[in-house]
Amino acid sequence: MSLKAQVLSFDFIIAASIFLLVVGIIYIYWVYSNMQIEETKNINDMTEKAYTATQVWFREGVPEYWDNNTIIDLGLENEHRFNQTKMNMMETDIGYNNTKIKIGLGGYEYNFSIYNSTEYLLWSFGQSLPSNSQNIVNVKRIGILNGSVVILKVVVWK
Amino acid sequence: MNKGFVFTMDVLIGLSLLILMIMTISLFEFESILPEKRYERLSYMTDDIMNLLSYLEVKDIQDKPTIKRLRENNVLTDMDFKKTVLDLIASFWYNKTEESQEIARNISEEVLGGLLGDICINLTTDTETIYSSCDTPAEDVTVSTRIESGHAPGKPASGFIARAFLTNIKGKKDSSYAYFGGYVGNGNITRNITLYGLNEVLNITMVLDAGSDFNLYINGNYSGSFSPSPGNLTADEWVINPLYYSYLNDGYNTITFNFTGNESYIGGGYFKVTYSSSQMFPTKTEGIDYYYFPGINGIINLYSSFYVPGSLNTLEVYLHYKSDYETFFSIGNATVYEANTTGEETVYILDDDVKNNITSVGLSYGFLSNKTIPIRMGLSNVSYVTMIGGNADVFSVTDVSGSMDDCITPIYGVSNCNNVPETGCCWWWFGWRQCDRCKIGEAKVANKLFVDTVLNVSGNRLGLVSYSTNVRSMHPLSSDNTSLKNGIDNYATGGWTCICCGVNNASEELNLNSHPSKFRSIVLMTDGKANIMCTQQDTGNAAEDAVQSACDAYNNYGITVHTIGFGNDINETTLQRMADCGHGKYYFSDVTELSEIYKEVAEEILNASYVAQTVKVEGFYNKTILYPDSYIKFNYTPNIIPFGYGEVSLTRETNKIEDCIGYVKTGEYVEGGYYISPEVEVIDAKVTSYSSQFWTHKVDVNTSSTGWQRVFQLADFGSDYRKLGDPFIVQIPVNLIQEGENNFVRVETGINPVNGTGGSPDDRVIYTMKIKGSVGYGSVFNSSSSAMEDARQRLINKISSYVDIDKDDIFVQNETTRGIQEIWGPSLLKIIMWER
Repeated sequence: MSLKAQVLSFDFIIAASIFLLVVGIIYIYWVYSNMQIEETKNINDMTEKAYTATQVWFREGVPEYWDNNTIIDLGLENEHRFNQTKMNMMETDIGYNNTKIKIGLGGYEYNFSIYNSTEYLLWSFGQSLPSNSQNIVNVKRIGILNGSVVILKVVVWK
Repeated sequence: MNKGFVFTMDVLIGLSLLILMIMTISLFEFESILPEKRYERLSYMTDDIMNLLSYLEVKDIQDKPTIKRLRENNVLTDMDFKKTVLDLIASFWYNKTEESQEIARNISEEVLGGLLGDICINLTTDTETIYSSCDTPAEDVTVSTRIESGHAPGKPASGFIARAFLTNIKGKKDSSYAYFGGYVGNGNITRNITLYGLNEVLNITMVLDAGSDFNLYINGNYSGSFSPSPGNLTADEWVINPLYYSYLNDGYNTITFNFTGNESYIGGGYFKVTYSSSQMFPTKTEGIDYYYFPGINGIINLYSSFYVPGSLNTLEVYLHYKSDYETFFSIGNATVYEANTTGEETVYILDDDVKNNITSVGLSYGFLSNKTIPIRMGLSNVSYVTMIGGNADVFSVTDVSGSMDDCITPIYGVSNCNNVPETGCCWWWFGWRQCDRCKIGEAKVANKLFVDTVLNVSGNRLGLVSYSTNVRSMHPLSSDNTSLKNGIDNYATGGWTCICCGVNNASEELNLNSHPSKFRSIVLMTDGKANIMCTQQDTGNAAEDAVQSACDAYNNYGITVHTIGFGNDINETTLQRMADCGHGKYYFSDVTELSEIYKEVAEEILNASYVAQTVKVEGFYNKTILYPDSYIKFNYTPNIIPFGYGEVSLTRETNKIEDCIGYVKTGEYVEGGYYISPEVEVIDAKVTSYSSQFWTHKVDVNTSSTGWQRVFQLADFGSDYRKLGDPFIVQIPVNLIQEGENNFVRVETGINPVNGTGGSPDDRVIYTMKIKGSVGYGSVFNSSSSAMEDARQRLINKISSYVDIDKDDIFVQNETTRGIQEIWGPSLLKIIMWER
C-alpha cells in the first residue's frame, strides 16, 4: 500500500513538474513573441516613416524654389535631380530639428547620407548613429546628383 | 521491477514531449520586417531605377566606356547627348541589329550593374530582355513600366522629318453663285454676284426656271437672249457665250434679266460663274452676314429665304424700294413691315422691331437659328390677282379610224366590235358573241379619266378632237365635265388615219380660243400609222405631215404636243419625232393600259401648268421697283470654325438629282444620293429646289449615322403657304453631312402642308468644302533637305487636284526637322527587380 502511494506520489510530482515546465515555456514564448511583434511593428512604422522621409528627395517642394522664409513644403529635387543648393539650405538654414518635423520623423532620429556608385560618401546630414540605439531602420534610394548616379541612404532610429 | 519500468517510461515520455514542444517552438521564427514591407521597399527601388534611366541624360554617363567609344566613333551626336539613357538604350535596341542590341545591353550594364548588389535588375521590352544583372530565379518581383515614344521594332530612331503648310495658291477653280427664288418676279430682275480673287472666268452657266424669253446683261452689257422651255418643276440650263466672259470683274458684278415674254419671273435657279482664283478663301466678317434682295422692276413679288448659320443674335432689315401701293415684307409668317407709300422709299427696320413682330406670331430668334427662313415681299390690296390653280388648256386628239373598232383580243373569229364597244359584245353572223373589250372602248374610258383628272384642278380647260380620214368631231375648250364626256361617248369609228388633221384642228382651236399665257398642249393618240396627208403641211408624205403638224403647233403657237402610241400597229418613229418637235413626251401603251397612260399624261400637264405664286395684272398699274441694295443683316454666333492658316475653300455641286445614285421620283418628292470625299470638310451645303409655282415645303437628309432627318419644313412657319416665302435653296446643316460616304437628300414641294406635288429632277446639292493645306510629319530621312522635299511633294499630291500651286507657295517648317521623337511607338519598357 505504502509502495503504491509512493509510486503515485512520484508520478504526480513528475507529471506536475513537466506540466509546469511546459506552462513556463509557453509563457516565456508568449512574452518573447509579444516583444518581437512590438519590435516588428516599431520597425515597420519606422520603415514607413523612413520612406516618407525619403520622398522629400523626390519632390520639388512648395514653392518650387523655396528658401528659409518662403518654405511651405520641403523638397530637395528639381528637374528629377537632387538639388545641391537645397541640400545645403536644409543643412544650414532649416537645421536638423526643423527638418525632422517637416519630413515627419518626429520621435525618431535620422541621418541622410549620399554615396556614389562605388559607395564613397559624398554628403551626410543628421546625427551619428549612437552605439546603444535600438530599432535601426536603413532605407536605400537611387537618385541623380550633379549628373551622377548616387545612392541615398537614410538611417532612422529611436 | 515493474514499478521501476513504469516510472522510467513515464519520465521518458514526459521528457520526449517536452523536447518535442521546445523543438516545435524553436521552429517559429519572427520576422522583424513584414513581407509586404520588403515588397514595398523593392518596389520603391524599382521605381527609382526606372526614374533613373528615364531622367539620367546621356551626357551624364559620357564617361562610361561604351558611350565614350560611340562618341569617338561619331555614332552619337550632340543631339544624342540630350537624350535620356532609357531613350538611348531603346534606340539601339529597336534598331534590331545584333551590334546595336549589344550596345544597348552594354550601356544598361554600365549604368545598372553593381548598383544594387543584393537585388537583381532586369530591363525588358514587352517581349525581350535587354539586360539582366543576374540569372537567379525570381520569386517575388516588382515591376516598373515606362512608355517610350519614338521607338518601334525595325524603325530607325534618328533622322529628319518635316511638315509643310500652304501659304499661297497660284490658282484654284472655284464657283460663285447668284440664287433666285423660290420665286422672283414679276418684272426685270437684277442680282449681284461676288467673285473672290478673280483671275480668269472659265465658264458661266445659268440653271433657271424662267417664265418666258429674256435677255441677259452682265454689268449692263448685253450677254445673250434665251428662251425657256415651258413647264413647272423643271429648269433650263444655258451656257453663256465665252465672248461675254470679259464683262465680269473681280468683286461685285450685276446680272440683269430683261424679260421679253409675257411671264417675267424666275421660279428658282442660279447664275453660276466658274473661275480661277488666287484667293485661298473668301474674307468676310465672322458672325455678320447679309441676305441681299434681288432687284425687281415691275411688280414686286418675291418668295425667297435666307439662312442663319449659327445662333441668331440680332436681325435688321434695310428696304430700298419704289411703290405707290401698300407694300409688305414678312419673315416666316411675321409681317415685319407693311406701309402705304408713294415713290421711292428707304426703310430701316431695327432689331427690336423685327424681334417684336417675330415674337408676336410665336417665333423667336432661337427658333430661327440654324434654319432656312422663308421670306416674302409683295404688294397688297392692289388690283392684281394672285392665281392659285390650273393654267392649262389641253386638247385630247383621239384616233377613231376603222382599226379602233378592233377587238383587243379576237376570239372565235370575232375581230371587231362593229361600233358597239361599250357592251363588250360583238355581232357575228351566228348571233351575239363574246368578245373582250374594243380599242375604241378603251380610248373612251381613258379619255373620260383624262377629263376628270385635268378638270380636277380649277382653271384648267379641255377640248376634244376625234379624227380618222379627217376630223370627225370637235368639242371646244371647256370645263364642263358632262358635256365633254358626252362628246367622248359620241365617238364613232371608221375611215383612215389622218394624224395631221387632228393636230392641226386642235392647234387652230387653241390658237383661237386660248391665251398664249396659258399652258397649252395637245395629247394625240393613235393606234395606227398616218396614211392621209394634209395640204397645210404639204410634205407629200402622211407621216411627215404628222410630224410637221406637231412642229408647227409648237413653233407657231407654243403648243406642247404629247403623243401616245396605242397597240402594236403604230409607227413609233413618227410619234417620237412628233413629241420631240412638239417639246412633249411620247408614251407607248399596250392595249390594256391606255387609261394609266392618259392619267400619267394628265398629271404631267397638271404639274407643268399649275400656278400659284405668279401675279396677273389687270388694267393699268404703276411700276414698282425693289432695289438690289436692300438687305437683311444678321448677327450670329457661328457654328463653323473660320478658315485657318493654309486652308482653302472650294465650292462644288453634285449632278442633277435625277443623275444621282439611288434616284427616286414619286408624285410627292424626289430623292437621290451624292458622295462626299473623306479628305474634305464640308462647311456649307444647300440643296436647290426648282419649285416653280409650288412651295418647297419639306427637305430631309440621310446618312448612315443619322438616319433620315428633316432639315426644313415650311409648315413650321404656317399652314397657309400663300403668306409664306418659298426657298430655292434649303440649307443642310453640316453636322448632318457625312464625309466618306453617300449622303441622301429628299426634296418635296407642295401647296399645303398635307399633299406633296413632287420635286424637280433638276435639284442638286451645292456645297463648300474646306481643304487643309498642310501635311504632318512623314517618313524619316537622312537629311533635312530630303525630308523637306518629301513634305512639299506630299502636300502637292494632297491638294493638286483641287488647287494649282507652286513649290514656292509651300512653307516647310524647318525647325521641326529634327531627330524623330514622336513618330513611332509608343513602346513599353519595364524594370523588373527581385531579391537574390
